[in-house]
Amino acid sequence: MARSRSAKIFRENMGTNNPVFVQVLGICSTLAVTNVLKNTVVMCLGLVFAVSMTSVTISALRKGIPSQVRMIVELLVAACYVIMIDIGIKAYAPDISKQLGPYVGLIITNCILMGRAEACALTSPPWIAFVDGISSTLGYSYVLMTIAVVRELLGSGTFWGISVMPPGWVNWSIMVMAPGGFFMLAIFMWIIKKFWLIPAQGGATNA
Amino acid sequence: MPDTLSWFTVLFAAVFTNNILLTNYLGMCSFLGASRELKTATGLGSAVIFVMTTTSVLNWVVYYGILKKLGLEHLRFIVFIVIIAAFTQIVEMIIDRVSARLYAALGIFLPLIAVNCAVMGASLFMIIREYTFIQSLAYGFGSGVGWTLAIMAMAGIREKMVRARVPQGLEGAGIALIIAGIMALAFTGFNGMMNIS
Amino acid sequence: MSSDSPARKKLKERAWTIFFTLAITLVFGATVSALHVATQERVAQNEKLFLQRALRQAAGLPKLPDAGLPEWFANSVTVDAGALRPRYTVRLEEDGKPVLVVERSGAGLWGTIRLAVGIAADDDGISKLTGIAVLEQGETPGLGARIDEPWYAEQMRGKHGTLKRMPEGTRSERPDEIDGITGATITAVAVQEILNRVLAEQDSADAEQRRAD
Repeated sequence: MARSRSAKIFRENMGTNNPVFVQVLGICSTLAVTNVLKNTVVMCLGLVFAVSMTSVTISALRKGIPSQVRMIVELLVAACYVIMIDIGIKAYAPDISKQLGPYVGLIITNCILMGRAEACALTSPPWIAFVDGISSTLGYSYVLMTIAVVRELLGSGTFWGISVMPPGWVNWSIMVMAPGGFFMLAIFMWIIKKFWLIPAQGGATNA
Repeated sequence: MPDTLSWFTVLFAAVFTNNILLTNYLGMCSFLGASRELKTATGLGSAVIFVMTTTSVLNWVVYYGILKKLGLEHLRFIVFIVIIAAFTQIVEMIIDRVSARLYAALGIFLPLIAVNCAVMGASLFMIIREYTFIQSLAYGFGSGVGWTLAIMAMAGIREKMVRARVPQGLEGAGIALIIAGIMALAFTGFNGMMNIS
Repeated sequence: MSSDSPARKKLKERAWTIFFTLAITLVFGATVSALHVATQERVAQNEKLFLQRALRQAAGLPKLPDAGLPEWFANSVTVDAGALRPRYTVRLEEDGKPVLVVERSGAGLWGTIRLAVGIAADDDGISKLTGIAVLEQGETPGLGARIDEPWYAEQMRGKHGTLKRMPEGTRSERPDEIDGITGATITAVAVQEILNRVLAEQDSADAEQRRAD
């Protein structure tokens, strides 16, 4: 029973309940870091760690957490794991640490983290919470990486920092800036919804 | 550098040229969720301005007055988020007592202010940019105002869009993001208006 | 126990809330602090290596593997302890000529930009840039943050005078023209102003030196 439930959660979080294009969570970081692929990958790894660990921890403690301080406890636990990530990056990958700046700290306020803790971790056993955490963030990761590849390619002419565009290519600077992020995410949502989600639901409109 | 920035420059930059939502992308989740109606947007925005200003100042005092003196800067994430969460809870209780109607109208959005990345982001940025006390106050207030401006503009536009025909697949978040993108484009026009040096 | 009065129950609840929150804070806070202490040395070492790498780049020297940096720093770099802002004198191995590297900051778009700027007098007696290294910046990734890119720093070698910004890709031969970065005007202007300040100060220091001689 547990096996099939976790498999179902995994599938849903990757597709029909995807945190980014269905639940519309975690948008801030989606827009902020996706102009450079390398930063995106680091952010995704960080989020996978933070969300899964927080979900497991909250799930393990769920019987004892007093309801008034529920949110503070969730935030506290999340903050601690994020600090671990921050310390880890500073110690073992200092250049990346300098590039990511405040965005590592903002993992704490990533709505996916709180969203999954509230929706799943508080009411599920640790293994389910762990699967939920991992699958949500994996679902988040593939969306971000797709957008990042496009934004870096069109905006800087590079892939993972390596110039791949033919000479004479003029960078679409807008892709690297704020508006580019908004538009790319909207286009991604549009394509996924129009060609996958809506047909899968039998053509019903989904607002 | 920071000492030469007047608080007014910081304020203006936070509202227009470095709008925390349209330039730094912070505070998007509640932005997309709460911007369908102008009334909700305004109410939420006011609460955010209040929380942002106060927590920026509080966090500044705690960081420079306690954390730095004790060499505990690495705990700033925990301390900031707990201060923000606790303060938001206090604001919730106050609003509940003062105006039950406002409390009912804001509903779920109040506790969500605590996890609004803009509030945490404002505190983090002010530390990175080494703002003074007055600059932090101006920055917290300006960021709140900037965020509120953006959300009110968005709500106004979306209210008008209710009758528009949106392509299938773009309803809801999709079209909201495109609107936000165009707004962000407009705001980049403010770049360079103020010479921050 | 199961027939506690409501008041007592509430007290127990409150006590548990406070105890739980405190306990969680202590446990997690302590774990994080322990991690911090454990990695402190490594982080400090990373910072040192970062500065040493930057000094080499600002002095216009080729890259050296990390293992060789501390030795190079100990042998070839003198720190000016009394200066207001950090100043280093780097002795070049080939000819022993000194390169002055100063740290200088300016206001960027998002925050402070801190550069290490290398200056040395050329054979004709004019102080020219030997290179720059970005020590600290919080500019927009993909735009202003591109001042980190090698080409941007390398173009500074040999430049002097009052620098003017040209469109990206110009690669002018003139010693007072440097490339900016498309879409990152404010950041590029900030760097240009820092460099001009350093060059101007060195020029007046040179002029005073000549008067004294």
